[in-house]
Amino acid sequence: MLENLDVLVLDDEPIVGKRLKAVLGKIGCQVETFTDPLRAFDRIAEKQFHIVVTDIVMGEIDGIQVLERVIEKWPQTKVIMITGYAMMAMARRAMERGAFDFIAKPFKPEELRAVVTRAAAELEPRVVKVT
Amino acid sequence: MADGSGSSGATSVTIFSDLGASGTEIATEVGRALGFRLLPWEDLCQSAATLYEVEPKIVRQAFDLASLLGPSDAARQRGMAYFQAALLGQLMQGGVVYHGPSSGAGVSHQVRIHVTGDATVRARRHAKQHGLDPRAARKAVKASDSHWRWWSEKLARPVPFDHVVQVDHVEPDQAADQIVELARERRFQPTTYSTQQLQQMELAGRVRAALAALDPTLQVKLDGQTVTVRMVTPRKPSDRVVQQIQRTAEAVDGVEQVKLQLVRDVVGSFIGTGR
Repeated sequence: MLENLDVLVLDDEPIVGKRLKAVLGKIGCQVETFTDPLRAFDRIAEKQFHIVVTDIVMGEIDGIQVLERVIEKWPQTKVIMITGYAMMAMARRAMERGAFDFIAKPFKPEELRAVVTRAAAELEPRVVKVT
Repeated sequence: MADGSGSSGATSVTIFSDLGASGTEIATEVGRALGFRLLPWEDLCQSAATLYEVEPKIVRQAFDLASLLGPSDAARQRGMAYFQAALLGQLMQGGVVYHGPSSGAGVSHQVRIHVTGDATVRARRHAKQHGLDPRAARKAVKASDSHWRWWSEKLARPVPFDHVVQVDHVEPDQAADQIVELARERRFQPTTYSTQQLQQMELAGRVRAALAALDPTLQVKLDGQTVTVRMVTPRKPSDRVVQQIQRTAEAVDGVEQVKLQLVRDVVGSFIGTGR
């Protein structure tokens, strides 16, 4: 279980946020979901999340911009990119900009949990209790 | 895990070098600096042959020059199926520097390098390295360039290189430093997506190799653990052939379901030669 792990999930499809909240809630994460990148930016400005899970293709503001905003404000935060339009060039671009991982949709709940667990393991040991 | 990336896979480097470009020296140094296993083309041909219980020449013919007495297209495809399956297996393990022809997998955590240089400079280096007459070295470089140009255009999957190293003005150790620096960049670190894609390619590669002795022209596509085998044929294959393909593909470790897709080869059917 991952205790005290704050996760922000951003995806313009509400159903995705709802599902991921349930998936990550099962391993003890405190999840806040957003469908609007601007509202997510406001929240990111006021709170440091341990992990941000963001969609890439979302209309005017894309996931790469979200990644850059998060890394600029909170360099320790691990950003996991998810997309239904995965391509190798996109994966490289995300990694180059500092993403922790890049996952293609659809994915299995355990795949995301495994990546979040690995991300948590790289955070400051005192921040998150991994049991 | 490598360099803070999220995937459990590992980066690999593939180096294709032109004759006289000190490719072996560079690949060896890259492997040493990164702590990666060095995998020369000859060794990979040998291990592919061992893995699929064929003569090494069966694998090597995938790279032979086209000529009247050379291998048929089907023989080349068969050799390539074994070779590619072995290469993908190595790339999936990660932490490897492969030195030789082939475009590899085209995943984001495979760094694809071409080591080249001016033909005159390479001929000089080749002559010095092997104690050859300069004219013979020039001829060898020209023939090699022409062969690999033909091979890349006709037979290799067109995956662009990530970086081209020009050895005209750099020493092999400097060229190796460039590659090592590149391989450590975050953009070449594995992701969950690229690792899964490579796993799919590796499984498809093993299925293609298993089917190569039956029909090396069969195309294999994978969706999860479901394999689709595409057969382009001028006439409907017999039930025996279909069952054999089905059984062979199903026997490959990791395959759960096999679908056979038959596509009528109208031209082959019309001219009556088949494939």
